[in-house]
Amino acid sequence: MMRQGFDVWKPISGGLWLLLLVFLVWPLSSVLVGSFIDNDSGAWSFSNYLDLWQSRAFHRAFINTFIAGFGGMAGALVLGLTLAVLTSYWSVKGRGLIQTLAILALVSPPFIGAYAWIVLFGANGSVRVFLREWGMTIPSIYGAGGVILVFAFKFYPYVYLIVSGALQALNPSLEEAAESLGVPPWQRFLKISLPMIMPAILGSALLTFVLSIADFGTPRLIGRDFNVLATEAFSLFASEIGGHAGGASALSVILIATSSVFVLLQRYAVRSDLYHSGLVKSRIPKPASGFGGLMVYGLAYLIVLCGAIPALTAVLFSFRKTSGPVFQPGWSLQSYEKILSSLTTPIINTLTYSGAAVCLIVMAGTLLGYLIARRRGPSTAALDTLLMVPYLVPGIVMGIALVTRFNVPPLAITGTGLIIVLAVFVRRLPYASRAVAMALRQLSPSLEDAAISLGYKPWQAFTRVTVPLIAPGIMAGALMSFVTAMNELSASLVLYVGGTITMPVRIYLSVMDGDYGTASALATVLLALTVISVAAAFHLSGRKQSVLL
Amino acid sequence: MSELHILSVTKQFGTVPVLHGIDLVIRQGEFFTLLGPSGCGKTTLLRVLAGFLMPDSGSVMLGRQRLDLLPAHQRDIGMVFQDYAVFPHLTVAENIGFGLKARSVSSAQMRERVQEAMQMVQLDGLADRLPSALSGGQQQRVGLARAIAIRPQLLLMDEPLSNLDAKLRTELRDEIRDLQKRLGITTIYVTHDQEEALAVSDRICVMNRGRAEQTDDPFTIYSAPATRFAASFVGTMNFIPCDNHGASLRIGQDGLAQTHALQGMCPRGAFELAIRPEHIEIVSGTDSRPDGYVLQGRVEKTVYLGREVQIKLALNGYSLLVQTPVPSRRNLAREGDRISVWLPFAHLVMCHPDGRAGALQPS
Repeated sequence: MMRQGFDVWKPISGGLWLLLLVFLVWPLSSVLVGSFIDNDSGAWSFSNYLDLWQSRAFHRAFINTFIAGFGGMAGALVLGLTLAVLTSYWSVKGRGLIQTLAILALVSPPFIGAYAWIVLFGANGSVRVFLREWGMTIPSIYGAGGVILVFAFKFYPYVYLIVSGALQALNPSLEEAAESLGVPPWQRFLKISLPMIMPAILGSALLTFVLSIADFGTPRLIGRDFNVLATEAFSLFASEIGGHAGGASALSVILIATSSVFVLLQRYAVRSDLYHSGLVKSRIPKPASGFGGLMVYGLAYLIVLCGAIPALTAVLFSFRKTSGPVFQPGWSLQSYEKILSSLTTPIINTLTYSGAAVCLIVMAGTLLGYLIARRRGPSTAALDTLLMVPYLVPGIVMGIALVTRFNVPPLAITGTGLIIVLAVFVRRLPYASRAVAMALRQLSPSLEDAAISLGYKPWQAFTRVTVPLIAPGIMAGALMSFVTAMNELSASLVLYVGGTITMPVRIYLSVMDGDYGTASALATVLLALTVISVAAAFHLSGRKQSVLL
Repeated sequence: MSELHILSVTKQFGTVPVLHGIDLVIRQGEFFTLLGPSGCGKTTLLRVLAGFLMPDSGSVMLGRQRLDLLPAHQRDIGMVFQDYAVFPHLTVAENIGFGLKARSVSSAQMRERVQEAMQMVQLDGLADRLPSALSGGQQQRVGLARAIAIRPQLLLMDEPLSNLDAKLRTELRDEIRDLQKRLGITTIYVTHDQEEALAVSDRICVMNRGRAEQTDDPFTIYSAPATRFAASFVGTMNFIPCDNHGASLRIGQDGLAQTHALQGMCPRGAFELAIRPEHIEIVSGTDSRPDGYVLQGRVEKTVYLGREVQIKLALNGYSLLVQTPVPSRRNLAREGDRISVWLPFAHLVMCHPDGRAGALQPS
């Protein structure tokens, strides 16, 4: 018997299903199906996988992906863990500055990092040239080492933020108890604290691994011959364009599978995070003094300053005098004049597409988050699981999936701005809906019940009570989505055409052409927009670092 | 306003039955309490009345109106929540006026009614505060004022005091009771605190495992429990295992001579006798008395509470908690002492193996 009348959430749930099926499942199915179709005969076959199996390039890319992944992970772990422990156990002055610099490294897009390291340590990089004048030669940044270095300094903030969060949640009484039982300091950390923050360490490490293997810009710009699966998929896709993208599809499936394994491992590691102590008194850090103190300060600031080098370099170099693509001594605003006169399209495109994507994300993400948090049921549980998928799919793969599915009717939108908007929308939607669901879980469900008992329809109770209360959280999430949307490179690189070029793509192309002045100026604009958005999000969320992760 | 009839209401969550056919009549203007342990179904029944849950079968009538067919927002029911559910983004006055806004009351009238409700719950002067600047007690006053401001046909309260500290709890409890009498709103109150239930209610329904075990006024609930569960849940109760063989009556491990008056009042077979600690009297000597049963035990523990003393008495196969006014220091029973106590028949409750309970019937 239907007694309650019309439930507005049923059609909403249906609409969201449709949205995800059309723009997530359907495109990805084209990659999966395409990987099993022979490029020449068009018949079902394993030929694409067999070709890969026999291709030495693929073998190398596969191994390189793991080298980049584990290398990036190890580097990020060493840097992040060191910084987290130093700032949690010692009172380091300028904690705010350290945090800001770490966050700066976190939000600046990885390809800016790659490019900045090239400017400094590339074949004709400033630092190398400078050192050469003094008779010192250091190896150039190109290759596996460079990729790992960039990843380490790019991804360490994840480890730092997650682990220092876990250390702060740790009850210091536990270490005091161990101290009273006669355990010496080092063993206290190793035997008491370390095991308790292990899930955080493991979780953040696996996260950096997944980010490293999904990254496209860095190995492409700095790797030279160091090809990984992401770059290999792009090359194959570019060479197969027009025909069937069978090889690229098969490679994409392998990339998804690889990243899935580690995403699932990461989920598992975070899930076993069982050590919560109810009463938390905060840790009082030791003052850093003497030689040890010097080491603490030196190490902490060395890490965050190196991490911030890319962003600082981009800003600095954007004001250098250039002649054509070559930097000249002295300062000028030439690069900015150039982008204002001839490169406004990518800026306008980026803002338009990101803005549109964020609007979609906010609407769909809020509704999805509400369903997940408040309307548990088989359909919602399935939606929640489906939302895992974008976490598993690297940007380059999502791009390939959208292009291959939507370049023919009924939805021939390849080459339009819409497809770039959709790519960002689909990839970022899970983050937004999870954030909303989390905010809702902290809100008592009886608030809506109260509004209903006072005479408001369920839908009105949602819009008048719940929405205003979670609005700051939604806005913070929206701004972070805006940041990722603006900085999205890999999917856009596959999806753009001349008229729909975005800032990251333009920067990438400029770096490939060696036009570093333009790249610096564009990167600085992008960085400025990013920093403003992040600052606003941080402020709106009540200075919670979790909004950044 | 009129009587509320709850007719054979059942509810299952998945395969777990939560309400097994509840039948209750709540009179107009009555303060009616649903009392029971957590998981007994009292909150589920309240949420069925509010309209947040649909009953699987049965119906709810308010006068001639079929309440269960109306969606929650059309029922005109005020509700007070355990976690206050005060809207944190609205001021005190906006919270209290929230329900009036949905009823398109004129703004002048709204101001007046908000003012009136604030006075009733003693929140004058706090109109522009945000809930975060209020104490728990004040927040619950806002919740109460918000619910009565709409002048509901029915007021539902879901453990409204359980998040407050002890002193505030009794204070607000009395205020709620006074307010309810003054306004005459039919009120259904859910609690697991038996003392609270006894203090505020006109009638109490003791619930256990989805069933209404006993519905009576507080005095009857306490003095004449109808089931073993009601006897054990409300107040403190001693239970003495007994067995009537016919040849003799076993009380704990002791056999009782056939000639004792008690045996004539007991059925055949196993049962329990129940008595409240304050009804047990310490006597001198072991002489039997016709109007009660005298037995001897060893003092295992005494707890001195100032106004009274609690004595835990060990007997053969069971123990009794005795509560007596404090005698002189000299007479204070000490651990290890053997003392005699008198259990008057008038206060003994017979608990049958099927869960029913009742007064001891003289033969």
